[in-house]
Amino acid sequence: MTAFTSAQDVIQRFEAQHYICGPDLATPVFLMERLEKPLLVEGPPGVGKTEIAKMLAGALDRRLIRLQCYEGLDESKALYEWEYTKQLLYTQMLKDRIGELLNRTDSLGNAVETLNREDSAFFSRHFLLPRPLLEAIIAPEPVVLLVDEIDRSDDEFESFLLEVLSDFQVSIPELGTLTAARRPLVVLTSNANRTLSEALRRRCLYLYINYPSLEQEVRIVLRKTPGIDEELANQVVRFVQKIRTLNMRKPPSIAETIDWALALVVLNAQHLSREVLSSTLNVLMKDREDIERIMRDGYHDQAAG
Amino acid sequence: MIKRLVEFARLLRQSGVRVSMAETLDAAEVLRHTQVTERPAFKASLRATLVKTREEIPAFDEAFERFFLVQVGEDAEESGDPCGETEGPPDGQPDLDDAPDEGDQDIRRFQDEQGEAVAGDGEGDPADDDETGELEGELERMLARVQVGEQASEANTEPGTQPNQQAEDVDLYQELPPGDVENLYEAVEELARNLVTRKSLRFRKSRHGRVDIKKTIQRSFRTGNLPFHIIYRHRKIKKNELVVLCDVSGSVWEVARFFIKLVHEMQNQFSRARSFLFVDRINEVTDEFDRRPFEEIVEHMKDDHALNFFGLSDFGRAFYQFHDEHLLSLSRDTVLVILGDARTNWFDPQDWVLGEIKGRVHQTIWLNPEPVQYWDTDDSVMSRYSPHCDHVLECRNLAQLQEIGELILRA
Repeated sequence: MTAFTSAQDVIQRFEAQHYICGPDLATPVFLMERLEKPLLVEGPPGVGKTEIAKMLAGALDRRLIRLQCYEGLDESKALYEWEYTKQLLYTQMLKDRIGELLNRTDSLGNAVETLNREDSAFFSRHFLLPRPLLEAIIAPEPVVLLVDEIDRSDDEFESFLLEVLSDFQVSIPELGTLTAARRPLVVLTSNANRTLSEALRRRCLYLYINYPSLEQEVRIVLRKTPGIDEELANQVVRFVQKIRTLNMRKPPSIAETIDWALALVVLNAQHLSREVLSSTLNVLMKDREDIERIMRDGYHDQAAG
Repeated sequence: MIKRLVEFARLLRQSGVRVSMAETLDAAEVLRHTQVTERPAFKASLRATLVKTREEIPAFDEAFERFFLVQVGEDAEESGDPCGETEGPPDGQPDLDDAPDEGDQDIRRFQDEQGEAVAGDGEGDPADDDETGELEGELERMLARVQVGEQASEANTEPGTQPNQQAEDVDLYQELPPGDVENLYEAVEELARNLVTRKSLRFRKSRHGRVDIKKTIQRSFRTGNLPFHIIYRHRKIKKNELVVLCDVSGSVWEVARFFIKLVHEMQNQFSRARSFLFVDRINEVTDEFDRRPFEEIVEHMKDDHALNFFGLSDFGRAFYQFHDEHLLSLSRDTVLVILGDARTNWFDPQDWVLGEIKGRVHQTIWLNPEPVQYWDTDDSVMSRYSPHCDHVLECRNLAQLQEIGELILRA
């Protein structure tokens, strides 16, 4: 599919995939595609940060390559690895050929020399196991690269990533330098577990997503929950938004709002009564203390009334 | 167009947003690519390029409103006390909300110029009509103001421009001017980053330790009995739980905030980091640290009545309460760090409580912000507590803070 023509276009194409957003979100997305710059997305968990990359891939009809970061992630897991086992297997299978080749040599030195000449056969692309970063670079078609939860990775990895992101090329000693044919679109997400380096921030466009407004979230629920009554959707969202203001241990995310709405539809609930709430609250809240607190303090009354 | 942008960037820097030259260029690039017809989109474009942390967003929003809603005419000049701009609170700017139309016009003009600049570079400036001239004049004046402010602030922050060299020795145990505090926070952040990096490097090296013969042979079955993969014994990365008990009465607080900042920056190095603050009662603030930016909590704490921020500190009572309520949550993986001056205001120190706590945890570290020579003078009972601690350290500057950080990570 063609590139975005405007931020409005982004909004429409995202909406076609049931992702509802405003210009605040669409503009940076549009710009990142235009400028070919990475986009750093921050925000509380469950507001649809990762989703942006998926939508982007969907809207532009590109392949999504995902790199999930975690503590201890290093270059070999993110970039490439040699497939030792396959190399070994081939060596075994080609034993005779190698023997034949070496039979013709008279001295050990010559044998090494001969073998050396065949070196490239074993360190070629066949035996290279590309990990997400390299995959994004060598992909012949343009792709979307999602670097998820970058804040979980170590500092060194962040610096390494910085290097890759700046020119999209990688040197593999045995093969030489590989450069991206088309620069991938890069989306980085962070939950702010750790302060990211200035340098990384400088190179990216920045987007902070917060929980959506009441109207927006109602629209999301209506869109994602077929068969829900508009009045019920309103109640649900008002309730959820109220809970978010209450300093819960784990505030409900958008995904959980949707799950909850789905549960209510399945149970054929007409409105939020205490019984309905007590039987379905565990869909929305995932912390025992939070649930107890809500049931005890009777926030449901306020929300329903 | 570029000039305006540079002015705006400068205003942002005034408001405490870090904007680099490269980012300003990005913003210029962005405006070239956007057909900006709406205010939200225009704002979002600038925000995506010029602001890179969540904390800076409010400052940006405020500066944006200020810059693109400039009052044309005399009003602005009246409000333009040159230095007030840098020092006054961000919401101190009057008279800006009632002129949205003019603001939008400003943007439109901005765009017109942009359009012209893109369309006809060679044609030069179109003849200024009166309005534009007025705006130009206003911007000139504003620029002048900003420059004055900038010089002033440069003069202010001059001593702190190399935080790393000087910050090491700054005595933290005193009231510091806000600018220094900012610099020190940054230095602490950097310190934490270094500590953490060093720690993970150490783990990486430790990965290549002894060969695990059993596993290597097992694995070799897969590769035709050739020990192709050498398996090393991984050192298990054990993470401690960190529990911080912080006395926040009086001047101890001055040091405590830097220590808490350090802990906060290093928190993913622990399986869990819990923080308690006390004066005469303890109060867990772990969740709050997760939720809110640090500086906000600092301010909020002074208003917290439960904390009795301005009361007399009572170590004995606080320890006893901690013992009562949280003893069971401590384990052999817990590193307990207590920060306080051990001045009990002649209350009963109840040091046996600390002894009992020590029996349950992996390590107890006491940090005292007072110089060593003042320990055990007057109502300080450091020596009553110190037998129950594995380490007792002075904690009053960044160099010491670094040592402490290392000690805690090693524990």
